[in-house]
Amino acid sequence: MVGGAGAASLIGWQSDVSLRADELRKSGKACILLWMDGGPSHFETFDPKPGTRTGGPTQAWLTTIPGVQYSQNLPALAAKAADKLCVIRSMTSKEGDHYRATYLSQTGYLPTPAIKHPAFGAHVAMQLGSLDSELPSFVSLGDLERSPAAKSIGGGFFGANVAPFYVAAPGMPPDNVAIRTSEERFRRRMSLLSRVDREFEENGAGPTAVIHRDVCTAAARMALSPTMSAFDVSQEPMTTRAAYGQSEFGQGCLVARRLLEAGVPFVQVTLPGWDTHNKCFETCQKLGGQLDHGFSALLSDLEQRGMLDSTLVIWMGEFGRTPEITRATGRGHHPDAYSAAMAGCGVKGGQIIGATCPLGAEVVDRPVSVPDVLRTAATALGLDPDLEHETSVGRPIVTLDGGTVLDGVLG
Amino acid sequence: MRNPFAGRALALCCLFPACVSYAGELPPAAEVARRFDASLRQELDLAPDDLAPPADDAMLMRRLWLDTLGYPPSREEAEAMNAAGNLDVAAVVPGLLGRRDFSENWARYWLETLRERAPLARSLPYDKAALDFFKRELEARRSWATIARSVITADMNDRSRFVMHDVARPGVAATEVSRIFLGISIECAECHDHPTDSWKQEQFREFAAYFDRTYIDDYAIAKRREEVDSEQSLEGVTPRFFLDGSSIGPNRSDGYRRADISRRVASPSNPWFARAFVNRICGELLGQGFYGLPDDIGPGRDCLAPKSLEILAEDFAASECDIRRLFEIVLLTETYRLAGRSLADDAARPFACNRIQPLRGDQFFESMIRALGMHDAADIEGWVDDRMSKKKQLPPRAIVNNVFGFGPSEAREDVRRGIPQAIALMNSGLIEYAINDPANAKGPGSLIRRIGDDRELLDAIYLHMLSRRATHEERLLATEQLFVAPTRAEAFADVTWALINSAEFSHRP
Repeated sequence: MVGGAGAASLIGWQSDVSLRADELRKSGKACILLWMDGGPSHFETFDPKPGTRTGGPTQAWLTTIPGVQYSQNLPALAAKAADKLCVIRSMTSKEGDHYRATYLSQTGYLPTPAIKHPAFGAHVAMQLGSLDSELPSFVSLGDLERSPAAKSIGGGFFGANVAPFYVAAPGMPPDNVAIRTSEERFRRRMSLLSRVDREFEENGAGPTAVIHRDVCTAAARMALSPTMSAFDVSQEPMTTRAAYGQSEFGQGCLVARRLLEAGVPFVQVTLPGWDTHNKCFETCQKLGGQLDHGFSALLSDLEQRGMLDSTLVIWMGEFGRTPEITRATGRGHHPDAYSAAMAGCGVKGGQIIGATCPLGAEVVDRPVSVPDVLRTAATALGLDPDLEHETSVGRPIVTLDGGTVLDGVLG
Repeated sequence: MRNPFAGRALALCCLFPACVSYAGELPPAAEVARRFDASLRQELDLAPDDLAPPADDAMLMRRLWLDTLGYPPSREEAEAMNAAGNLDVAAVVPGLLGRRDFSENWARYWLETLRERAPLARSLPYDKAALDFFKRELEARRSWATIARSVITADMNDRSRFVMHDVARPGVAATEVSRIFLGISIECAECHDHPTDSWKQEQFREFAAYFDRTYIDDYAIAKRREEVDSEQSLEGVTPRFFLDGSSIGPNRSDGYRRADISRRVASPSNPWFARAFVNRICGELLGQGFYGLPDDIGPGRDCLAPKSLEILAEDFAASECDIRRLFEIVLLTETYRLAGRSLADDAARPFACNRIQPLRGDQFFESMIRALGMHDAADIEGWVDDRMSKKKQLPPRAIVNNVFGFGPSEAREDVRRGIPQAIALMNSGLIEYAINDPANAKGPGSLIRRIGDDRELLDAIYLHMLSRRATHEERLLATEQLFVAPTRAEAFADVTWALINSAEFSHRP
């Protein structure tokens, strides 16, 4: 995220992590998390129950894999991507509160007052991110303003340097990155800024001022860098943009691919609005359309560009929805049984892991926990899930505590 | 606005003294400050040569204002001090501590401390009530013991869940009370005997039992609590305080339980209550505490200078936990008035200097709106991200806190602002507007338009932004800008931009 020797001291990584990171970066692996904020209904996505009293009006759609059906809201995924997807229908946890469940899903840990755990993306950024990159190592695309829970989880005890760089409206260059003056004047200002702290520096602030200068220099490099065009999808052919769909989520998926090509190792694309206490079917149909377009186009594009073998795509939210349908045609929070999906980076596609009961209420086969999924993801990316880190008070924390690599998921 | 702590079931605060009352004659603050300085030098074997030089008046003034009021002195105040020729700290401090903004600044500090581990989503709606409570209590000069007891005994059905944000789990409430008011982190003992302290899992459960019957009129939380209770029931566990072993019967009501533990925790006679507060305030004012972190002290932790800490803690207890008296003592110490050194400067010995620290989110917000001449303006939206503000989902202060803030209990050396923070300032449309806007009489753009003399203008800009005049080298740097920029206005606007983006602006010296 920050370049140069100053950046290395700024980040303060443990040397063993740095050494390992050098090797990992050579693998070129990266991860895209498609985050379904609010808790997507498994009935209306990957685990439809048509014809049952809990299934609602949502119909199933045949996929290219014999015997496997997705919901009618995901026709493109069913037709074009089922062979790449490993769908887990047996996710289960005890956390039915948005914050706690989001924290668990994004960090692998339950929240505790004493420790701010880094998001999984921060672990990836820390181990796969390049010090020389002009772009951040963890980019979060999409509007999280309605989800302070998801937004409050970031670098954790790793700090700001691997925290996500938020872009609320994907597709255009981020607002604050665009300089407000001519490039000539901006460079003149930066030259001035690099010298204006001399007095402060000589009066005791030495290292503080140096770190500040390094960060500002790196920020200016980023603002002026041609690689920033990775955020701008206007440079893509119209056919490609159309394939991803015109929604912010679809364009976010396209930006994610562009960012990966520019060397960013972790991108989160958020599709908010899944907290469907009201009008569940109508909302899921609308959101499903955006998801279906963006997700299927992303997998297809990654495959065509030869990137899918090194890119792990994870689809998940914090929990599923209740089998019961309310009078407001909504569904409540349901952590007991829900779905997630993975593709690429060695994940064996065309399969379904686990199963729920005919009513979609309980897991009846191969219960899978969040740590199981994250451990599998970490393994696919070549990260060590048991790598030990230290908090600022010297408390040892491993990347993932518990969980097992899901049998049969990785090739 | 209702008092968030005026709970119907727990109107117990009346049992405690409402205001600070002195049992006996306390020594003058300056005398305690002298004893503290001498003790520190002796305990840490600090020779005069080890000490940083005294901070110059401009640096000291900026530090004092930020520490007490939460923002730097105005240009007029800085100019007045310059004209007077010196800063009389002993004369200035009582006035600063008496200002309403002292209460506002520290109310925000405590609010941040209480919610720093809390999910943003839950704490936001309660901020106003909670902030009003702290402001009112501090303005009324309530003792820290009184405030702490009010917080611990707050009615959970009122707007006070920010305190025990996750009261579905009594263990979290216990952890937070211990962390915030005793400075002791016991949460490790929730799952197993504490690995580095002597606390046992059973002691944690007994302490958590004080919060086991807290009634919550919230379906979602109550439902989750039922699940937790079925796994980790504390029913039948005798509430017992891990520090002194005192206990109450297992059948007591929630009101009785929390009133009892509030008296034991928030008592001037509980040495850890006083030490935790003194250590935290020293951490803020001196830039370094006696322990590694303000919420990780306790009998099992090494204290840098226990005798010196005890001088302040005993005085604090003797004053019935008088907040302003402790501030006055620390602000009058020589240690406070030493020049600042970077937290990353390992050569500087503990307490041989003051420590330069990043401004907290609130301090940064207050400093910025004053620098831009916008502290009276109603509309300061669009500063960090235009689109975020337009949705009006978060007030500007919250947006700034999201970008620049950090938990007050975090180790300051770990607080590092990165590219998102730097870029938010560099390319801020609001800053660009303010430095070029000649119409706002309080803004820097107006200074550039009004003051015709370059030297006078440069001093005015430096006083406005950094509370000091420009040095000779800085004058040369500005003169250089006059040559390279196409216009005078642009040259000075660029100087102003650089100062706002400087490390000096965003740190407390």
